Amino acid sequence: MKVSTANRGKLKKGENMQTADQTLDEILTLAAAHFKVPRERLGPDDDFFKTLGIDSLQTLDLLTRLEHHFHVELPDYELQGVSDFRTLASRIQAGCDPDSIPRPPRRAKSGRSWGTIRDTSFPSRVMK
Amino acid sequence: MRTLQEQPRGESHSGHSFRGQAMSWQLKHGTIELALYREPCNELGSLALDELEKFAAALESIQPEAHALIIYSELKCGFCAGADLRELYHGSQGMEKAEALRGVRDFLERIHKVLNTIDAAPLTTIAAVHGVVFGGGFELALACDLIIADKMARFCFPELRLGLIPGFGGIPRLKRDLGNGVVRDLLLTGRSFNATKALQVGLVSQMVGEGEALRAARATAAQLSKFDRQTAIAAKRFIKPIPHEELRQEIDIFCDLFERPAVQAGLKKFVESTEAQPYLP
Repeated sequence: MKVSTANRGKLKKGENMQTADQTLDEILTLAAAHFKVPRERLGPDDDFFKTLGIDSLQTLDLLTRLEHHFHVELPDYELQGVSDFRTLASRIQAGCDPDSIPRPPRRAKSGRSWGTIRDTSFPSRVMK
Repeated sequence: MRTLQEQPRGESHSGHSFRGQAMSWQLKHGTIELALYREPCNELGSLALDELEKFAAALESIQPEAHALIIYSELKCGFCAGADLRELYHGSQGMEKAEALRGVRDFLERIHKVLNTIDAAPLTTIAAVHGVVFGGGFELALACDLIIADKMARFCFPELRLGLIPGFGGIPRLKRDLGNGVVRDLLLTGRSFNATKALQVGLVSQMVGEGEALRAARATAAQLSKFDRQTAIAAKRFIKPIPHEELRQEIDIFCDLFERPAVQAGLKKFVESTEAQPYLP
């Protein structure tokens, strides 16, 4: 699924951390597009189970999409009891903590920049 | 995707094909395709087990004409959500403890026999998975030689959260395939992880785009058809021994744990939960 605005502030390896507001906005945009709910109907403090009308299996689907989108790993137990978008965004922000990301050299010997090296060259972005 | 209304009511057999209430299979161009379609998410209960046993029995006569088996789900939610906990819970209510335990052990023995047949089948077996690949569904995939995962697949052994261990051969087969650290992480935390992580740890052989797992599995099966079958069988026997002793221990441990009141209480909370997210500690 492509979200037209979702890549706007998307984290990439080597880029600066995005703000919590950007993360929240991207979550809302992605959820609205995937579950076909008007974006304006979703608020930061809404209960996403109720607002999106999703069950536990669909929640897992959302979790997987968010992990792929933000390049984070979100263990289920870190999300237990989380039901609003704002708290979800804060958990993702915590998972994106740049200090926890193993950083390779900025420029490889070949002269390629980091961004040209395949993702599989490095460990997962965040392992909590 | 199949809807509930479209599910077949009865069974139909014709030569090398079958259509039941939980699954169908057919032999086509040397590949057997086993499709799962039992709503809500291919839970493995007595109906699915009956049909899996029919499949295992039929496999003997079909396999000489086949070189590959692909197992996949037609449901949008995913490959398989695991054992049918509602049936397990309700089935054991009103029974004497010993009788309920006998029923559980019998179920485990039967499904182990089916999964051992799939594990040892003289074919290359491929699980093409997407969405939820949980518990017993994960164990079904682990019985296969290759797992090809849609990028939206999610793997989990949630059993410990209910006071149990995986009972369909999951731990021995996972141990056979992966480092023990990953096995402990999955088992002891009960957490799920996505296909990217599964690829990193070596659980899946290919990760493909959304909706592409079955196509990729068919392409893989087509490639396998070019190889000498006896060589493929010999290679499989050499590199994929079945951990019979540990599988036997797993059944015993599961049954010991199942007897405890805490398990019954956990199952009750899970089954009777009306929340969007069912109870799991």
